[in-house]
Amino acid sequence: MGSTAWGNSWKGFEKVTGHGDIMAVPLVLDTNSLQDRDFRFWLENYHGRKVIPAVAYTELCVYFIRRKNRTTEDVDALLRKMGVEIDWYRHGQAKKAAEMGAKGDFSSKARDFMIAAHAYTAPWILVTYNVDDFDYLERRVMTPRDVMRAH
Amino acid sequence: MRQLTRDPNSLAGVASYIVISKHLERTGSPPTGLYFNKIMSLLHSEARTRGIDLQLPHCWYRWGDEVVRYLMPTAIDWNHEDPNQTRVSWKGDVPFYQGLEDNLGAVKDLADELTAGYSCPGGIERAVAEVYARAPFDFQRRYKICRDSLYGIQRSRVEMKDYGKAVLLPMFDAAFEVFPASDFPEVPDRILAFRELLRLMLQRPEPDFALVNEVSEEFWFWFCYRLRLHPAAHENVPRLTIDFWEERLEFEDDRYRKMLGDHAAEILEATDSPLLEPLIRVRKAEGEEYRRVLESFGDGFDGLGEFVEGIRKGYRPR
Repeated sequence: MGSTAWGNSWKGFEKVTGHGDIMAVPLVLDTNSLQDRDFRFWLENYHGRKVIPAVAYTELCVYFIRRKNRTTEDVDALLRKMGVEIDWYRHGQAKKAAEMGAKGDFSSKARDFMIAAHAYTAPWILVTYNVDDFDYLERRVMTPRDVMRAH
Repeated sequence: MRQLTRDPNSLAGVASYIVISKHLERTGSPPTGLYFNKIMSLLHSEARTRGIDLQLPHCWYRWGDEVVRYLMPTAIDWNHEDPNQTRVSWKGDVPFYQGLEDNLGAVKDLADELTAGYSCPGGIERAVAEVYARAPFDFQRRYKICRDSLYGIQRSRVEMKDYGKAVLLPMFDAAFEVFPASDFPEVPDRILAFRELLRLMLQRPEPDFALVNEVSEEFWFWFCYRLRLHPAAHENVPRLTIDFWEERLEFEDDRYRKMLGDHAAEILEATDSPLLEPLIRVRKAEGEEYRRVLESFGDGFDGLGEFVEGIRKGYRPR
């Protein structure tokens, strides 16, 4: 491409995405990533896009409603402060989840596939503590600790 | 409309298939997103001059004119979000041409002409230039020069004295001189703050060009959320999609304000700037508020990992 701006555009994570430099890599947050206190604090100043899949959002709400007597409004307010968007499960995600699910154990891991579908396309990175459950995303699945280190 | 444009057998679908397969045939690899977008843009324009409307859903965005992915046939596969990183391939049956015979020959000829002309070395740069010549606003062309120059200086091995102050700053000023303010009435305040930050960064004796580039790209990406909404910057995009784009603005405006404030806080001189100091102050207050909200959840997150593990295990047949 010569010396034009039309080259790499993702900052950090070079080992993961194979390139990097300008913009912060977008992150897909699995529910359990938010258990990490340091990661929660770190998220506010992270400039890349941060989304929580609709399925993970549901889990988060159920947890706070059932275990902590909180409301979905509390969860929404928290996510807003974090700058985290709720990523709806649309046609594209359903299609990717189906493609991954067809190759794997869909009967027992449907929810994992539905979450992973949000990070199917590079450079999105899935942030989770269950890295082994998403090994088909290869290097684009990381723990919160690894993400903070890589950035 | 949405269903029609996603139809692989629509004229836009068939044209996409032809461009992808012709590139594959000529080079042995699927096209990059940048190539695909630019050829489709040129094909769309050229076809129109011959009285053929591809009804291509496209808009001006971060890297020039590009097709609107989620309005394109689902048989088209992109393996990366970035148009210049992704490869575009056709994953599906060969389109069904019936009913398109009248226009198909002309579209095939045009696609042949364009892929032959732009698949060679240097072809993509020419395609980008030709597409940009048709950009609705001169500001886009001028800002592209700034982006190209910033990209170039970061990779240059030659040290150029005062490049930031003497070359880049006037280049950005020239771009903003032609900013179409009346077409984008909501953005002037942010632009003033962004330009002030740029000025402070570029006037430093040794500017951090990587950081300047990051700040510049963040501005450009933010601006493009508005650019694509301008009536002159999109075509064949249904109202539903426009509404979705509009809904993003509030979130993206807020995200950009935070980014700008965070960068300003890193520049010592910014604290004395009436344009930047308020942004820094607000960010500081927001940081404190964020900590307060998190603390209000107390140890509420402590059992989250265990809970998730439990429900996902419970969900699986044992």
